[in-house]
Amino acid sequence: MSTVHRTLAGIQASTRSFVREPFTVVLLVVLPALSIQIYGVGMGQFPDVGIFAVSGSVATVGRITGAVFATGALAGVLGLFQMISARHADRRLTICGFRGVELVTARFATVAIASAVVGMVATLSLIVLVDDPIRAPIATFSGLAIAGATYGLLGIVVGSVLPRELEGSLLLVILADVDNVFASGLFGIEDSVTQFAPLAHPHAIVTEAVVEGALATEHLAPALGHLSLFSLLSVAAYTYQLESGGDA
Amino acid sequence: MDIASKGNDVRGTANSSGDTVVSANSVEKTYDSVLPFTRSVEVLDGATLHVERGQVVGIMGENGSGKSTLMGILAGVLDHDAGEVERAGSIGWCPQEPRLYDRLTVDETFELFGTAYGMSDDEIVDARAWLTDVLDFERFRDRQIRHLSGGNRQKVNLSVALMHEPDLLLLDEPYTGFDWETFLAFWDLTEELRARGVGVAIISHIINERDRFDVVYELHEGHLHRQEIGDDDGLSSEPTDDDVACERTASFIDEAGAGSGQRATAGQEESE
Repeated sequence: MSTVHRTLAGIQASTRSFVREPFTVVLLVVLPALSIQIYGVGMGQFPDVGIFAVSGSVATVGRITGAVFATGALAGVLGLFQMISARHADRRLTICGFRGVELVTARFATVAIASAVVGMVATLSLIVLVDDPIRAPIATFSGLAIAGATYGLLGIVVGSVLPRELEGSLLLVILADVDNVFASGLFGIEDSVTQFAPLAHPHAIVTEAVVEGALATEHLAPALGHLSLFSLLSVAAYTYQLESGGDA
Repeated sequence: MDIASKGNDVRGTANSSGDTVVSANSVEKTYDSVLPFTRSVEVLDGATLHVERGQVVGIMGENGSGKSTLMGILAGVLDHDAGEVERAGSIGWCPQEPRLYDRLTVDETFELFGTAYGMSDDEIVDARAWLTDVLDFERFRDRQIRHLSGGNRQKVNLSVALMHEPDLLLLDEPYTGFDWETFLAFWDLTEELRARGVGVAIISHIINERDRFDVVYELHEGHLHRQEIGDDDGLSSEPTDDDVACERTASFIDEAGAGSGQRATAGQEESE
């Protein structure tokens, strides 16, 4: 039995588990639109007198911030729940013949699929809810998908070392919120600080795509760098919990 | 799968004799706590056990005595601190808590674990047909695991351990939640496996089953006490690896209220 065959079987099992949770699907559809509207309306109440270090109207940047937050938080929670629900069964699969690398690949692929779906839903929500037409929807989707994948991997890390649904979810949502506020540029925090926020560069990519209609190539490499860093962290965390019998 | 392990090292060769499918010698295991003000728990202290081909071995002991820990070490799921574990041949492991994917159906579970075992599609279909028939859960094949009753979930759990026809079966209270007919079917299946030369180790609480075992080990204070069934001589009050001390097990299980062939405990044993 080939590695490819086993990995595909693992991805198929994870994807089936993902789509068979009705609450997840409802959350997937509702949360991005809700978050975009709340952030947009909330930020739209601020007077646009040029105190914010943003391009575009404050309401539009608020909606972008809502989209990035919803994508990151949702993908993170999906990554977390995937880890929690599968950690014992994953360990059993390794006893039955799966290799660790095959399971890691399956987990990553599921995060990638979930991030793409969440990013797509958030992009469509932005298209519907932002007043002006979005001039670069593919670049918008790319930025959101990177934000989702980054937090999806962070969900794997949290799920591996803190396999608790309530505490893990709270941690991820709070992290995504704080990270997103830093990343948004709304409060003009020094770049040297904000560039380390995982959502900073995806946020910049989405903002440029929505407001300027261009792909912010200077932010692409750092965003992918963050993604690579979280990939390494998640491999280490996942391997640790797998070797500890799923009881980490 | 030929594996021998010492401490936390797993080697790729087996040193067992031809008939031994798993051998544990002087195994030690302590759960260390990394948190302050919590104590470490010594679970196994020189536990020794052997299972031969075609042998059905019972492992008994009080709740929290370390039976599931021992089973996890035999299966290779848990590391041990000292001692040596040698395994020969393929292993089927049925944990106390079903480690399955809740949102997969029964059929999908067979497919996934069959793939893990390296079985062909036809072999998976045959194994599924055999086990769903023997354990009588054919009509639940399209149900998700999370929607099954505890007993049916346990049937899937057991089937996953059996489907590749392993050389060694490690079963941790495999019949939790079984009805009487399934319980009998399980033992018929075990006899069939014994006849095929499969070595079977079962954690059990049921006194009436003792005659079904070739050997019973009682786990007490980290030590395993061995008794050949039908051999009532040589009982010793001092715990040594080869001593026989099954009275405690008998009295423990009698206190638990086992009826004729009924389970001594209504629910599952506390997690160890």
